[in-house]
Formats: sequence, C-alpha cells, structure tokens
Amino acid sequence: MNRRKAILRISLAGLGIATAGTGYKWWDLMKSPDFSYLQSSRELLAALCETIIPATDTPGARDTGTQDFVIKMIRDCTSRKEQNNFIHGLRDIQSHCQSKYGQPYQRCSRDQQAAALAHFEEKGKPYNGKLGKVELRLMGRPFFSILKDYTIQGYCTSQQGATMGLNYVYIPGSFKSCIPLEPGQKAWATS
Amino acid sequence: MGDPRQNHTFDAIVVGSGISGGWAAKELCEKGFRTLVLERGRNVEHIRDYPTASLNPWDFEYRLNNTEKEKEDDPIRTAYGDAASTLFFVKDSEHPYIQERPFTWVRGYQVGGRSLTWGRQTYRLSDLDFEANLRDGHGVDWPLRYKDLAPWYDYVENYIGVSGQKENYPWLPDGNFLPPMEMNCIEDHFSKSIRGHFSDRIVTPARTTNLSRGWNGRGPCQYRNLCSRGCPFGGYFSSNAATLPAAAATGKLTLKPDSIVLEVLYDEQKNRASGVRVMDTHTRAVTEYYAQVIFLNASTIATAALLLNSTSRRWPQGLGNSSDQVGRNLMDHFTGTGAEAEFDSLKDEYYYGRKPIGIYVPRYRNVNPATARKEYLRGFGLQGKGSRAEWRENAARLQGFGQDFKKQLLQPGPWIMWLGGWGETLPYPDNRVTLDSSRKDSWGLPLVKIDFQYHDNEKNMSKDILADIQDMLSTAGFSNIRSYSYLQPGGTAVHEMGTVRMGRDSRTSVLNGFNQMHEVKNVFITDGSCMTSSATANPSLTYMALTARACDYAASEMKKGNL
Repeated sequence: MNRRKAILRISLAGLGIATAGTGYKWWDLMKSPDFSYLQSSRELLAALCETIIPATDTPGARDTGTQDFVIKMIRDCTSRKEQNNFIHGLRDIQSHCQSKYGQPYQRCSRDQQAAALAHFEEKGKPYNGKLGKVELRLMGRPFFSILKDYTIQGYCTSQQGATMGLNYVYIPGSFKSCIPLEPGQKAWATS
Repeated sequence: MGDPRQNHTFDAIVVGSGISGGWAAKELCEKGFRTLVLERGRNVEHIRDYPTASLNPWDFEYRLNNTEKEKEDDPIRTAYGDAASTLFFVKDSEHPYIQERPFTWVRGYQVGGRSLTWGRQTYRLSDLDFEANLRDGHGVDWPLRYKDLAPWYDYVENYIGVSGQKENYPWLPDGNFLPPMEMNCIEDHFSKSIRGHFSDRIVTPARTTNLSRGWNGRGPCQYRNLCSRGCPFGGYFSSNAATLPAAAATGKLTLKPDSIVLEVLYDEQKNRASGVRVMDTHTRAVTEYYAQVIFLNASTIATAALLLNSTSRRWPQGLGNSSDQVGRNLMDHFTGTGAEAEFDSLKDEYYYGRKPIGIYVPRYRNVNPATARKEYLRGFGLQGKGSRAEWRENAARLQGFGQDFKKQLLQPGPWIMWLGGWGETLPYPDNRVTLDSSRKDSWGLPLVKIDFQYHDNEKNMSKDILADIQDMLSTAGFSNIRSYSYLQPGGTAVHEMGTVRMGRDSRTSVLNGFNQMHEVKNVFITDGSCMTSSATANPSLTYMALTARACDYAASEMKKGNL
C-alpha cells in the first residue's frame, strides 16, 4: 500500500471526518510544500525528464532545460495537493533507488532508471472506473502523471523541442487541406 | 471653449465599441453624424496594442499556462484566456457580479470588446428562427422576418468578408462568400459520409470572418490560429481592425475609452433621452454628454443593467421599462454535450497550416413535420473540428516513456474528430438580470445579479444531441468515441442574448422592429440584448445586420425630423 492509496482509503472510510490518524495523512497532502527540496532536486529532475524524453537524433528533455520548466510549473501552476504529491514522489523515487541500487536516481544506469520510473508509473495508476475518478478528484494526479505531463509540455513548447523535435512553422501563410505524410515526418508543434 | 454643454453635444452617442457598437459607430459616422463612442475599458489600437500576437510558445514564462494564483483570483478570465489572451478578458476580481445560480459572464472591457476574442463564425438566421416564437408560443413574435434582414446580411457580409460554401440549405441561408476554408481529409470524409447516410443533414466548412483571401484592405488569414491575441494581419473581423478605423476616417468620430456610462439621461418634457452620464474609470470624474440619438451596445447583460440603473420619476423601473421586460428572457446556447473519436485510416494524409475553424452541421431537427421530435421544441447546430493527434493528444493516449515513446509522441497520431452541440435555449421570463443596490462595485454602481437556469426543453434536447453525435461518428466509421454531456452554467457559450427584446407590442417587449425603444424613441439597442429568441446559430452576424439596419432607419427618421 502506498501513501496515496492509504490516504484515499482512510478518506473514503472516514467520509471526510478527520480523526487524529486521517488528519495526519490528510496533512501530508495539504501541508505547505517543501520547495527547498524541489529546488535542490534540479539534477534529479533533469535525469527524470531525460528518462521520459531522452536525447536521440533530436534533443532530449535535458537539452531543452525542461527541469527548470517543471520546477516553475510545480511552484506556480500546480494545486497544493499535486505539489505535495510531486515532492513526495521525488523523495520516494530517490529512496527507492538508494535502497534498491545503492545510489541516487541520477547516478543509476539507464536500465535502472527506466525500471525505477516504470515502478512509479505502475504505482501511481488510479483504480479502475468510478473509484479512480474519485481518487483523482480527492487526491490530485500522482507523481508520475504530473512529471510526464510537465516534461512533455516543457519539451514540446521549448524552442529546441518545437523546432527540432517537432515541426514549428511560425507563420504558415497558407493552408493545404490534404497533403501526403512523408515517412518519418514530424508532427506540427502548434495546432 | 464656449458653452460647455455645446462641447459635450454630439449628433449621436454609441455606448460600447464591441462588435455591434463598432458597426453603429461606422454607420453613423459615414452618414455624416458627429458620433461619440464611449467605451468603459482601455484603448486597444489595432496592431499596436496586440503585444502577444507574435510571440512563440517559449516566449511565455509558463508557456501559455495561467498560474494557480491567477486561476484562483480570476477563474472565468483564466478559463477563457491563456497567458497570451487574458489581456483581453476582465479580471473577475475587479468586476464582481452576483450569481444567484452559477452563470459564466465573460467580459472584454476594452476598445473592440469581445470582437477581439470572438469565435468568428457567422451564420444567417432563417424564418425557421424568426417564426419560432410565434409557432410554439414561447416568448413573443419577432417583429421582422428574413426578407427584412436579408439585404442587411448582404451589406454586412460584403464589408466584413465571410469565408464559406454555398449549400442551398433551406434553414441556413447562403451569403456572399469568399472561398471557404477547405475541410481537411478527415472533415471531408466525415462530410461525405454524413451526406451519404443522412438525407436530412449537411456538413459544411464553418462560415467564418477569417479571410480566405484579402478583403477590404485586410488579411488574408495567415493560418497561425492565434486569433484571440489580436491579429496583426487583420485576418479576421474585429471592431479594432475594421469598423472603428472606418469610423475614424470620416473625421466624425470621437472615441472615449475609460468611460463608464452610469445612466441614460431622460428629459421628461420632451419625452426623450437627452444624453448619458459618464464616469472616468481612473479619475472618477463625472461628465454628461448629449445627443439627438443614442445607441446602446454595451453587451446583453450590461445594456440591461444600464437601463435598469437609468431611473427617473417617469421610469422608476428603469428607462423604457413599462413592460417590465428589461432584464428578462436571458438566453445562451448550451454547449456541454459532445464527443471526440478516432479514425483508424487515412494514415498517409496530413495538412499544412493551422486552420482557425472546423465544420458546421446546421439544424436539422424540428424543421418540418418529418423531423419533428416529441421530446423538445426547436433544435441545435453541431460544430466540429478534425485533426491528427499531435503532441497534446498523443501525451494523453500514450503509456510509458523513453525512446519509443518519444518517437510516437512527436509523430502525427491517428485522426481525431470532435463534435459538439449548440442548442437553442427558450426565452424564459425568470432567467433574469436585476440590480442589487445594496452592493456596489468600485465605481459605485449597483452589482448586477444574474439568475439563470435551463429547463426540461434544453435537458431533453441535450439527450438527442448526444445520441445524434454518437450515431453520426459511428456511422462515419469512427471508433473509441468518448462522449460527455452536462448542462454547464449559462453564459458558457458566450452567446448571452435577450434581456431587452424586440417585439410588436410595447406591453410585452422593449424594442420595435427597428431596434428602437417603444417608449423612448431616440434610443436604439442593437447588441445581443435585442434578441427575441436565441436560434441555434452563432449570433454576432445578426447583431451586426440589425445594427446597420437600425442606423439606416435612425438616419432617415432624423432627416424626417421624427427623432
């Protein structure tokens, strides 16, 4: 049972009536987020973003400074609950890597990083059906979903991501309604 | 210098500079009237005051996201504008109003109003709409018919430029069109499939004031799809790009931004409006201006509020409001029903350029006995848009991460088609705007109170919309249909109308067939408040046509000495 599921269970069981125990768990979500930990995790974040969008023949998330965008988004464009989910997630994945691989995420091998992140993707998956919707509403999105969302946004709206990873046309000037798609053609960066 | 009253006297005053106020300004100035346009918001000059128009996504600190703080302070503003366009929406926190039930009042207080951020789609109403109230007894009869407005639709379209396709479809009259903005592969497939399977329906390229070719010194559209930042190419119609410069070019226009009209002044002896009382939004200085004729184009809810606030011994219920209809019959289109679906073919096809519009399915329900529905009156139009899944959609579809994920993320994904309903709302007397004089805004005006709800007719119609959308998408071969249906708060479509309706009888309506107040003959009202029914189509074109027609009538009445 992870923290997220534990809080959800207790919240649903207590129907929102905060006993001492649930109050403590709820506080985990609603407390003032630990921004200094977030700020000090820049290297960890760069590595996480890079695992999601690695450099290939086009730039990766690290090249585009996506970690800085993620930090900005967490600080200023994210609800309190999700801020806490995210910062808890950073700590959790770090301690997961320490105990499993004996080193922080950013020093793990690519395979270890992929395995660790896959573990957190799985762990964050909401329950199926209605309960999952309640879970999302009550708890906010889990660590992995937030990380993935902001990494993709950060990458695809960065100058390098948009112009090299994708196909950015500043001023199209005309519209062609149906044209053949060339093999390997990149998608338009903006719609 | 001379007599201050003389310096403050014009031939005509127009309150508001949005899509209809801009037209009133242009028409009145071009007819030679010295016209004062009063706008409560700041000045926005075409091109010069579009600071975000040419920025790239990465030029914004949060890449177009609004911050939590901004969302908390100004929920409506941030729901309708991204970081590039919030500058054209008012801050909720600075402009409070009372919601008896949730109502989304989207406002753009600036020169040009919401003509900067509108959806730009333009459709004519037909006699199916103008006869609707008479036929089923809801509301009062429109005091005009399509033939009365048709020449004015022509007149307005010839000026603004409308890209569209002629269809010869009885309930969506054709206009004078520039070439349509072509449908892309998936929209074309959908159109052919629907026309093939449903003999009662058509799918046509959305009719839009985005210019498919240059027109009247503006445009053409550059296919950037950044319209609501203001278009430096003048690629779509706005007051700022078109009507206000045309009015200014006559030398007859005086435009005063930052000027809130507090009330319309009434001269009891002459039984006419003598002018308006105006507050400077910054200095709070109050001034009066006078004119022979006054056009109110402050937008549906604000115009009703202005009349209700214009009380006098003769008009204790508000100017020209013996009927008690001012503020009533507020309508919107309800848009909370639709679906998105995928298409598993045409994988080798793509497009170039960012088309700012999609497709339109004009009303096909309750148009004749064969299409009659028992469950509800009137009908709906459908709007849609097709595209390939690009990174935003791919992000939601694709599991995982890493190299293969990246490859799929950055390639065009499957074709996706979205379709949503725009449903007609009946005119209910209790859907209503009033004033609460116990609470005041920063300028000392009583707060506007909005009480609005949908009823069974809308609820029943939304079920049919949902069923039809699912049916049409699956008939056209789409899969993974994800539908939604909920009645959003009123105002969500930003098509608020009614509140000062036109009609044939001064006991049951406020305006006559020329948008002239029954009871105060030198006041004309041609914004959305004049609408007698909501119809199903986007209404702005009708406001513009009614405005041009009313200006023509007012001018002839002035020449005859009747005003």
